Amino acid sequence: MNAAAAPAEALSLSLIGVPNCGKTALFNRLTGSRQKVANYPGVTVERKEGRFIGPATGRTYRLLDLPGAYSLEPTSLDEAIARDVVLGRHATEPPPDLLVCVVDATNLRLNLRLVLDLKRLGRPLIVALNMSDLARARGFHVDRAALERALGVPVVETVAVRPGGERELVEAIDRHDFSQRVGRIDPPTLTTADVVATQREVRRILDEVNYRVPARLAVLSRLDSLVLHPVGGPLLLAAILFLMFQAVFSWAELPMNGIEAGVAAVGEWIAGTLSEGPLRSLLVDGIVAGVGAVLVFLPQIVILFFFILVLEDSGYLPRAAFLLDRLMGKVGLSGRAFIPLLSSFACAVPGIMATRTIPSTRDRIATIMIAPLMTCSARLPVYALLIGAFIPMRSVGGIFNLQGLVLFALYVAGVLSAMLVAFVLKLTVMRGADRPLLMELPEYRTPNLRNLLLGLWERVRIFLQRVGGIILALMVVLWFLSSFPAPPPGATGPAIEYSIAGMLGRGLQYIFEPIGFNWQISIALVPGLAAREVAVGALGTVYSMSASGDDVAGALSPLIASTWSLATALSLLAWYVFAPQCLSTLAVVKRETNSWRYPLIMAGYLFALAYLASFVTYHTAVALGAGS
Amino acid sequence: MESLLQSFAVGLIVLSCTVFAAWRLTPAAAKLKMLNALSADASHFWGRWVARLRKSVREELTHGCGSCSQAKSHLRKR
Repeated sequence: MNAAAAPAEALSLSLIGVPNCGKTALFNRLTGSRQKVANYPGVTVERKEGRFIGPATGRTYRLLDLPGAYSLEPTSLDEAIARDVVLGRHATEPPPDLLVCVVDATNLRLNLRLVLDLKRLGRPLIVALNMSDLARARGFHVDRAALERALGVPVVETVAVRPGGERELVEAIDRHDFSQRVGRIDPPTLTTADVVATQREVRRILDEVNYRVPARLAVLSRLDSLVLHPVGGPLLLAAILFLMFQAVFSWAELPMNGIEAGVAAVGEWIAGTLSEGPLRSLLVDGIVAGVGAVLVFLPQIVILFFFILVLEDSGYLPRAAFLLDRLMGKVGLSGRAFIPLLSSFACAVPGIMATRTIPSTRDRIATIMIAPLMTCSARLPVYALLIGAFIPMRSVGGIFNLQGLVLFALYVAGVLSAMLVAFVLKLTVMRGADRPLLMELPEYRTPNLRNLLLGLWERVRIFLQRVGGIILALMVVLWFLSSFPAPPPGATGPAIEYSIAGMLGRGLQYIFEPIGFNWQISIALVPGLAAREVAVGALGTVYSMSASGDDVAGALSPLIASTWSLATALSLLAWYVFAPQCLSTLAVVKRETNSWRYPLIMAGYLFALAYLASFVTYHTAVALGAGS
Repeated sequence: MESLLQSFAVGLIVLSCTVFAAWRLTPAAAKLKMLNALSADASHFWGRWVARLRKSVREELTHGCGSCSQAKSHLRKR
């Protein structure tokens, strides 16, 4: 077909379909570069319009690419706009002369429901059976002519990604008689019985056209009866997560010992090479002790992300979202919150940015407010340090590792706290109706080794960049603050006690003493606001600076094990479950909500929760005899 | 003499790290304001450097944060 300038009387076509059916690719194929992209008035939903000329009739068509919709019962702003345009009720769009419903030939069961909803409206309709080549290649049996007979509307095959793949559709549009036009249509009122009847009709049509899913996919989809089972599904999810945290400790020991030995060797080498002076102190006590204390946790981060990437690549994670939807709905969260919250396990910043996909402002704000309670990867070094120092490496019940159990419990504590906060928000300031979750589950796949290795490399690179960037810089600044001013003549204690950091730590100790933190921990909390794992590096530097004589950077874990009480360690763990978040998180909350109100509320409530949890933990532990 | 050299090297490292840490922790909007006040003449090394910094800060404003490398990896995938 030819793209052309707009004549006065262009016929109006609307392209509609479920998300990911290839609708936009077909729109691009039909209209080429003759497109106008803008937003619908007053909202941030994209509006795409293009034109083309029918080769047989010379008619000009104005084609609108509508937002993806699963049905005419809108659950989001996108779907509401698509429905209004289709009904001819949108304020700025004329009623379409013809609807083109794009359906994915590899997933007819999901797509036909929308086709039946559209057919009932009475507006002229053509069905474009897209990805028909892919469906055949994968072994689906799709009979176009039988489908056309069963639906009672024209059905044409399209391959939007191939040049010429739109030809049959253009011919069908040219053949269409546009003399009968339908104006505004009243919105359909669908009851549950109607939805059930539609599903039944979809099944009947699929049987009638003999639509067959390939045997391999059919077997895999039967897995869902176990994976998505209301009881078995959550148990399986808990078991997978549990094993993941066990592996984080069991598998990481050897490489961690290797890194620890390497860091110690570097420290000793520098100490042996450079003569006594400020540069040697900076390198050994500041950089090697601080950066080395964080670097040692790289193997645990790699193992954690290995599991997450395998689960993601296999298609399991969206199923986990589906499983958790009921639980999340009960505490007032949208099912769409799952992906942002899952992202927050890596870092709260992309997680908070991912909340843009949540259409309801109430749900979005609630998700943003609890995202920092998900245990981000920056907290893993803190947890690993404290667990490694205070929790014995012994098995429970002969199979489980106690350290892994504690780590699992800390992650669960974060999730449960988030649910609790969301529930409180739902009961108080963020009341509103629950929204149903409608999502498309991808096929199960064997994880691709290359993708897996690339994903892991990406994580390693990010971690090393962070260690070599902001963490190293802050360790150097902290070393300076811990070294100057020099101790007065005749001073007997370590130099750090007389330094700026020492004075700051003693000042902060008044606030943190009731929860069992000493002045070294109090100092470490300050740079920990830049990024949580910096607290570990800061402890490494502070303890290295506190050591007397020519001690070089030693392993931090045995050092704190010998100087802290178990009550203090448990209190610090409780603190980091709620850890008042890093500055980057607060900045992104400000940007995403366009207000200082939410970051301030977030900082306040997290600090209060962290302090309360640490206070209760510390005093309970002391009462039980763990205070010395 | 060696002690003097060590002190000089330490001063340089501490100063560089302080500037770097302050830059990374400054909100992107404030960074952009500072960069907009500087010349970005592409014919000079300094100008090209300012332009490159400005571009990366703009990306931070749209997609991520200053000190979180997560967001930067997200950018590369785009």
